[in-house]
Amino acid sequence: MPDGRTQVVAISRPVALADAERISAFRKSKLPGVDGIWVFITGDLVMFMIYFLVFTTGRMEAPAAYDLGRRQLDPLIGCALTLILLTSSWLVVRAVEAAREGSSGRVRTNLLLAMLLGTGFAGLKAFGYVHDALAGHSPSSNPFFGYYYAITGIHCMHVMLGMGLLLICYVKASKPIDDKYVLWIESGACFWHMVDMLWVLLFPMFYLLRSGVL
Amino acid sequence: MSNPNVTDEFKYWKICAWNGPLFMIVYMIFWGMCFNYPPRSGALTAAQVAATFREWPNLFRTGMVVAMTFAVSYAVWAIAISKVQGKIVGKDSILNDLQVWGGGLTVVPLLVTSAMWLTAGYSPDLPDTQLKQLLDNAWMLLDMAYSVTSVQMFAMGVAFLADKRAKPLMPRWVAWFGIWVGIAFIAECLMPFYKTGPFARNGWLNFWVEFLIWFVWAFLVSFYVIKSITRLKEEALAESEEKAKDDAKKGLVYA
Repeated sequence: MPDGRTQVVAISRPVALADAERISAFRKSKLPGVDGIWVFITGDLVMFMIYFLVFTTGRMEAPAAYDLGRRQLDPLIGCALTLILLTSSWLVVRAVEAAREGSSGRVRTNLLLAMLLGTGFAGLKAFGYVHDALAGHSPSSNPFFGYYYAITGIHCMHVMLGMGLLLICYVKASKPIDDKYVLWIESGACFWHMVDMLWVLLFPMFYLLRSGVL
Repeated sequence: MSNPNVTDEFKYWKICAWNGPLFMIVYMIFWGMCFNYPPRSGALTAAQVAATFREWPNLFRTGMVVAMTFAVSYAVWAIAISKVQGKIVGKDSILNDLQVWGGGLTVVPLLVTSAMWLTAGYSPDLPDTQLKQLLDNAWMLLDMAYSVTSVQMFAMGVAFLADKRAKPLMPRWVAWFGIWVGIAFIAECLMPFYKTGPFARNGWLNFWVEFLIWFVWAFLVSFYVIKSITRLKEEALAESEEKAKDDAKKGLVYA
């Protein structure tokens, strides 16, 4: 069926070209990752902005109660969580650089370490939750802990999602690295940095911010 | 010259696709009018909940009867979407099945929860605690069945992202937005832990934000799916005319 074969070639070539054009178009735009990751990041940032506003509004209404809640949390755990995520972000940056240089071995090593730290973050957060729950603090015990469990819980789910993206990048790095893979890892890295950045805001909000009421 | 088989088929697709906006409008009005804007708080006492059902039994009956009648429109809409996405990923793709099952099963909590509200309106003389239980059950099911709809959103998003056309049937950002909304629904998991505040079932985060982003997504998908059907019809007609010309040519050659 020579006619049929001609048709297949005629369809598949523009498809491949369209893909390449899309990738290079993104390169020109200077925006890392695939387009969709920015929809995710924008959506998540808007949602968290709403969470921050809700928390801040509640805090303004009852500063003493919120300050009392803050004092129940262990700032050392918060500090450790922050350092863990910042370090993992640094490792992800190294993985992206390695991907751009085409070194799949370095990509995998850095991603593996970043994922280990991510697991450490989730483990330490779980320990923190158990510790707080055993101390008698539940989501309904007071507004501060209501927000604490809800907002950090949603953040923790984002950590899991980010780890899933890093895991996909890790598995994909077993094949030779190409332009498309770089888009993948850039997407995963952007999401991971967003997760990290959100925690950098959550840490002082829950663990450090004093209300001025002693 | 239009091919009647082609035009009829796409006409059916379009009617099914319009079931999406139809469902949303009917639900917004008839489900919403039963004290669901915002929902009745989980912190209300059984007596307070019962008082509403006893004062407005016919409102609940009318609202929920109409809402239940049109709940199936959501599944009809999902089937229209699967036809369109089938043009991208192929009609045998598992993504179509996932999308249809996700959309179809979404109808189950819609029907069951509406039946609970309807029961409360039908028998407002039930004990206060039973009326409150009906209301709480309805909200637990409606909110916690979110993952069923998420499956539809993920499958649809992935299918439309596979569109390699220079101008895709669905803008890529809408496909990504759908996947994001499916994930953002995870926040519903917080609802059972709160009776007041923004994460409670009547809280503005749990209700207004989560339901609003779902509505925005559903309207966007409806708009682009309906538009896609017109485009697919034109393509199919052009293809059928081309085929007719080819057949005519062959006929001349063989003659």
